[in-house]
Amino acid sequence: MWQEPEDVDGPFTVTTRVAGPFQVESKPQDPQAIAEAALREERLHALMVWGPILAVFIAAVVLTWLARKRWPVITILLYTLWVAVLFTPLVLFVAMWLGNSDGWELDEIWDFLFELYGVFWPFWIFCGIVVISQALLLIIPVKIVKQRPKPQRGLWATAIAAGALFAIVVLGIAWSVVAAISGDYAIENMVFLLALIFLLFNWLAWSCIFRAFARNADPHSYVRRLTKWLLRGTILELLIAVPSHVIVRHKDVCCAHGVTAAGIATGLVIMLVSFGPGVYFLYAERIKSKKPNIS
Amino acid sequence: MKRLIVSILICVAAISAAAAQVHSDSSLGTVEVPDGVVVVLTNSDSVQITLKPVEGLCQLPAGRYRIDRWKVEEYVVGHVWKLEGVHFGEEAVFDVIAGQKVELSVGEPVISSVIVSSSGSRYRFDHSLIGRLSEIVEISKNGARPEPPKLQIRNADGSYQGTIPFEYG
Repeated sequence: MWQEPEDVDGPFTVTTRVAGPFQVESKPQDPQAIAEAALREERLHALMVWGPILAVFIAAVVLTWLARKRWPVITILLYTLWVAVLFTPLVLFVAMWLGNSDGWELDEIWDFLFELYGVFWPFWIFCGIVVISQALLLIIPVKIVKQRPKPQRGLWATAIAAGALFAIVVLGIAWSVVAAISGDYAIENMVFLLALIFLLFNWLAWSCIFRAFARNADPHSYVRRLTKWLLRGTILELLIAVPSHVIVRHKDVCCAHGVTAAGIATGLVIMLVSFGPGVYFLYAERIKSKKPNIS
Repeated sequence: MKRLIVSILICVAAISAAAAQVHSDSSLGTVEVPDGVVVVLTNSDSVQITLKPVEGLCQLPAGRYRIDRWKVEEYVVGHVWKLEGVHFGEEAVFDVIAGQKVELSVGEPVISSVIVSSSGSRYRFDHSLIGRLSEIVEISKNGARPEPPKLQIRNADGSYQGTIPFEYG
């Protein structure tokens, strides 16, 4: 600790002297300027980390207030919170804590959360895909409950949403298998590129397949069939990703267990999302039964 | 006739061997390391390699490498001083391209960095040594920590000069 002497005029500069025969560069620096720069950097870092989290919560609160009595929106908000808040600890515990025999210090858990929320942007893209898909999956159930005419326009949107979720499930299965077989090669840059191409191709293919399900099917059974596919897909993903995770944990790898853990976590999240339309039907029936019946 | 065939076969074998040699040489790149610096690398197969350069140069197969650590030792009046770079970030990853030379920014000079936090007119200083690839640099004397660095403070007109020793820990 050093205190600026009151009776001496500044500004002050500091330099360091390091013992030894080596070349050490030390430029004179203004301590006040360094302290201010460090403070600015700290505030910016805090803003970068907490900004998106705060934005999600504020948006959730505002939307909840605006959407009072609008059950589809409430359902979507619940899932937003599930994905953004619960998904993270799930990844944390599955990927790291369970596999780490030494356990984690609290600081390390916080650092991991900061990294995930503040730096790892694919997490937010995944959250966005899941929330938008959930919203699109509810189009047909809402139209059914409100007894509107056959919702032709919502069929493609629903198929695209279900296709996106199912493509993520298929990618989770394939990538978990690759990680179990080849370890850290599963996270090479080239594999990321191939995974992206695989995902986009799958999305297109499954969207077309799911749209075809709507032919000669009433909306209710169409939605039920889609959710059944999603549910079965996620169960298969878990059946593959969990043993893959165990295999990878027993290999001498640096980061490949993140892939299998992500497979488990995406499986669980999409499994819950597949319950969304069913949950909405339950809400709707319950509300309908509570309304006064005028006859 | 037999001799001719044998001669042709020997020639073909010699040319093939030479071609193979040329081919294997062409997959090598050159790494330039400052004099006296020992560098430990890891290749893409997670194999550790210690570089032993001849006149500051050494040959490596083309591929991606990561610097794990480097060290320099100096002997000064019976004392062994060691400077070691550890904990590298992404800057430590480099590619060796066949037939090309890549220079590793390791060793001296290192940068003496001071982090300052203030509370009113009171200041707290934290010191660290940083390498050219933003790695952490450690210094030792006979395998132990040398005397801690010193902080020199002065004002603009030179009427105030103070020296504060840092404390380890």
